[in-house]
Amino acid sequence: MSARLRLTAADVRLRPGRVLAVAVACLVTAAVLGANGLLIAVLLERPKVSPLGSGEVTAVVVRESDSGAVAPAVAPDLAARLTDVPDVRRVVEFRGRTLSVVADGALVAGRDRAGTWAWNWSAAEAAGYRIEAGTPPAGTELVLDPRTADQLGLRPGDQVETLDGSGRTSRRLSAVVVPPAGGSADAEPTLLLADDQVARLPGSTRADALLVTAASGSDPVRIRSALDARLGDGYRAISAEDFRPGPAPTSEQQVEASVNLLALLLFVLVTSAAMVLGTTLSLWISQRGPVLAVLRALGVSRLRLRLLVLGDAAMVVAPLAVLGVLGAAPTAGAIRTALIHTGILPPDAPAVRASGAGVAILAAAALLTVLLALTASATAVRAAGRIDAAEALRAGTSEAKRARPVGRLLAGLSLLALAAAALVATAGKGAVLLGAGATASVLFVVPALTVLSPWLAPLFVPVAGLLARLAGRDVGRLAAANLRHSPLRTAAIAAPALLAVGLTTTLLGMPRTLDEGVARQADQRLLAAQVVVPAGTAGLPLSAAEDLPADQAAAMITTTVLPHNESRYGGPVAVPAAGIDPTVLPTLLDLGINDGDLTALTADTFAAGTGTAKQHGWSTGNSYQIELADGQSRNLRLIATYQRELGIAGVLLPAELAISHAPDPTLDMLLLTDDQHTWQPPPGARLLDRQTYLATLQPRQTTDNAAILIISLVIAGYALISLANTAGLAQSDRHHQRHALRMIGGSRHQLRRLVITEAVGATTIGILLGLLAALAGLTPLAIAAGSGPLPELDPRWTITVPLLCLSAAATSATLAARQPRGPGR
Amino acid sequence: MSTVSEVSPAVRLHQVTKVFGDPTAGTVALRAVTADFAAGSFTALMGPSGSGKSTLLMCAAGLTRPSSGVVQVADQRIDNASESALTRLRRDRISFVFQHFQLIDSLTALENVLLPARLAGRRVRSGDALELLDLVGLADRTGHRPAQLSGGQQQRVAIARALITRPTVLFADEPTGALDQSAGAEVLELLRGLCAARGTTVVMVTHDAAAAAAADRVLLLLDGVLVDELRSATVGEISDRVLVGR
Ligand SMILES: Nc1ncnc2c1ncn2[C@@H]1O[C@H](COP(=O)(O)OP(=O)(O)OP(=O)(O)O)[C@@H](O)[C@H]1O
Ligand SMILES: [Mg+2]
Repeated sequence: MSARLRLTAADVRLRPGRVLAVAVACLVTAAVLGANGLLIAVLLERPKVSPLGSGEVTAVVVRESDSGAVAPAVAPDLAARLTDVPDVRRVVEFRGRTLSVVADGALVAGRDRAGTWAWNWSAAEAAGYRIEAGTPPAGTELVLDPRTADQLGLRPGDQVETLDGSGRTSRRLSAVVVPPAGGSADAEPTLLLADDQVARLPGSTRADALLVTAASGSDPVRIRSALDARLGDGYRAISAEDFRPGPAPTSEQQVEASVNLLALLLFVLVTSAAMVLGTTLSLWISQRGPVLAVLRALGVSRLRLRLLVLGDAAMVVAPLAVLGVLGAAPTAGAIRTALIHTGILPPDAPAVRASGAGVAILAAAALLTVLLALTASATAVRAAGRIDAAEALRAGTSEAKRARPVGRLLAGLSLLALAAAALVATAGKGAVLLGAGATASVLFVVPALTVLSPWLAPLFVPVAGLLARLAGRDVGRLAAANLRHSPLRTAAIAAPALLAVGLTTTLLGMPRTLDEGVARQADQRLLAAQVVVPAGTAGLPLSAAEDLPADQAAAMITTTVLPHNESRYGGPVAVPAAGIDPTVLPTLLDLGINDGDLTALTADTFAAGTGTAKQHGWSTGNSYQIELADGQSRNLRLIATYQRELGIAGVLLPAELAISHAPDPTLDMLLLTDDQHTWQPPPGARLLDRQTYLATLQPRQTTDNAAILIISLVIAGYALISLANTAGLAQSDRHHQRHALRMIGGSRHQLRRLVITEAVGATTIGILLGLLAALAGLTPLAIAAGSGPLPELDPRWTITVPLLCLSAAATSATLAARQPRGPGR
Repeated sequence: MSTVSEVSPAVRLHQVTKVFGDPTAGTVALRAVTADFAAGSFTALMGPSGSGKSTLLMCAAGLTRPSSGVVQVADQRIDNASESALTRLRRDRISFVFQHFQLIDSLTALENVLLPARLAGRRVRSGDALELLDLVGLADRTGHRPAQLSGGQQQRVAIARALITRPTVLFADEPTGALDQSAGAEVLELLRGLCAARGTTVVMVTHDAAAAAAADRVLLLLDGVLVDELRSATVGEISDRVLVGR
């Protein structure tokens, strides 16, 4: 064994407490990172189904919006431009619309209880759908897949009632078709209509996409690149398997949301892991000060000393990281169960199983943990080389010298600047954007304050001093002096408390503050006595309002717009928009008009929420180039802005304009006056009175909030472990002091009180900083949401997490400081 | 080998044996040691390394329980006293000074001196502490932290701290071991003066014959047994005995 190995081994054996803390931090980090990676991978791998299958279609041409998302609707002349691409045999338009089969007065649900979708016959034919029985659809006839037909007890020739944007229609079932291999018919009901029928339904006249069939034997990749070359900007040729039109099924949305959630979790974890590993390892390295000082005095060079410290850290961290990732699979299983339990993941979400990719992910997680640990302790390693032997040998640790390195100050200040930038960039831009800004800013503020805590901790010492005073005059002053004397130690304990409190308070407070704003604004603007909302479908059919008197109902048509002047904020983002009829709306909805006149909302005009307008730099009276949902750009004049935009579309369009440019227009909601209380809603819709509707908007434990709660609790749990670690570690080199105190007549009780007061004091500093960071992020959000400067906090966790922090720190410090009965030697 | 004085001794050890580890096969550090330390006396404890000097001090101060035998401090048995009784004893009667400084890093010299009184819950008067710091010659260093003081200065702060509670007995384990000659002499002078001025009983372990010569009495320990006793001896006499003892 080399001398150096022996030194490390001796250190580990002699002070197992120190290494234990580092060990726990590494194990947990590796396990959680690995679990996260495994889950994301398995969810992304989840087989996706396309209605086209892997049959005859070589490529699908779709419109690609500037933000890279696939948007339905292609220009009418596009098909003609593609027919002479070499090897292209046939180009067929693809069109789809929301269409439901009505059976026993209810809608036949799609998979995951979502709505169903019908598309055009020639597209199905081109994709290789084969008639099992019956004839191709003509006129209003309908075609179904065998499973759905069976389920409804229908055979070709039978009549069936459907509901679409234009109302109810009685249709004859003309055929039952079998999808090509790999098609989605097993998962989704297939509904097909004659081409002209689909084209005649309300909505944009443009086709959703073009299906390209190539001569047999040609290379699909080559065809797609030839198509791409011909298409130019704004369009893209993708493979048939990647084409998934229509509303995404709920389970897919859930999986997507879960992947987003896990990615956010991963980001927050990596940030906090760097911090937690950094503080734990730095404390460990600083406690080895005397040993390092002796080595330095014995003539070991700076570089060698740094390499030694780094090597030791790696030697401790690497095996633990490997051990940690072994626990990743069970952790992933536990997280998956929790996600399913809270309804974030569908119950049939794939489970983690052994695979080559899994092993690679675990290896990457272990490597990431080691790299994070080593990078995060770089400052301490650098300082180890600069160690002042005399100082360290005298003081017992090398802490005094390195408590406030300039690099750390600069890093902290830049993080703080980033946090401020996130808030400034979103200031006054509406609550939703500000919410994103607040999250980002807290994600920066938390590490910033952690990095800066050596400078901030002294500011809070009066608070800790007060607490110490409460703990009793005998040990109180000593505790306060200790806190002030060792900022690194204090910061190491305060950091995880700050992290836990700051992040949980912000993450849990944000949706509550927003929900509160949404509920408040909804209450203020809703004049209607009744509201009709979709039940079990993505939206209400346009025809839902057709039998209502025009002066007693207002509909909101769901669509999106893509503003063109977005260069200031990076890529363009589609803004949710609504089509409305301005003549009835003001009697049912009070939007709080800022300036302009909503009744002028006709032809080429639009109205916008104040925040949305600010965000895009729009002012009333001016015209702007705006891309509508089907890709057509129009020059629209802003005629009014309104204040109460939370929970409602940021842009309002005239109803006609919205319908004629939405590829598949549906209604978001239908507002009714009190005169209509006996009106029966169509299938797939629910009639709520005003109070019931508002109650559904009250801040509550929605699935979204459950997801945020899970993130918060994982982070908080992680921070608690590291808090216990550092609180224990901070006591492990205090035995000299405790010994001395016993010698001069300190009782065991006093010593325990001292240790607890110190741990609680440092933790309190972290908690206060955490609350400060959270408020810095949440207050602008609360103001933007119109609920005054005080954000809405989650009372349960805002109290529980700090209490958990305090007890974790106190318990761990007490355990670490436990000593034999007598003062001993 | 015991010293009998007219008044009852401040510290009395009777047949004290200390075995570390296994009672039958462990290290025997003290073998049936009997010794009395008269009130106001200054005793030096000498002997080769590993002979049991520190152990004897620990037992006498109630820091280590003897394996057998009786220890009395001011007529109170401490070998079987409760933990809280020992804590009270340390607050009221006994103080320690060690070779390695036992100061609290985060407190100034003055705060270090005041600490025992604070822990004991007594009304603290900084005047007393300042006086003691003046006594040990550190009147101008009261606001310094240990890291800003020299080794000798730290040791003197430790002595001042040991005195704030006006102890009846002061135990010192090689208090001059880490100090140069003149600093060591200062510390010895201080201890000597204490016995005279305050009637404090001082028991000091030392390897230095010159230091031992400052004491009224020198006890010589060899392999856990008290083998010799010298009274008011000179440096030369002490050196001779110690060499013979070895
Ligand atoms: N905690 C302990 N556990 C086991 N053995 C011990 C312990 N403390 C002391 N000893 C042993 O008891 C014997 C006496 O030790 P002690 O420390 O009293 O010697 P000392 O005379 O003070 O030596 P020195 O002059 O080197 O300080 C030694 O052999 C030592 O190894
Ligand atoms: Mg000794």
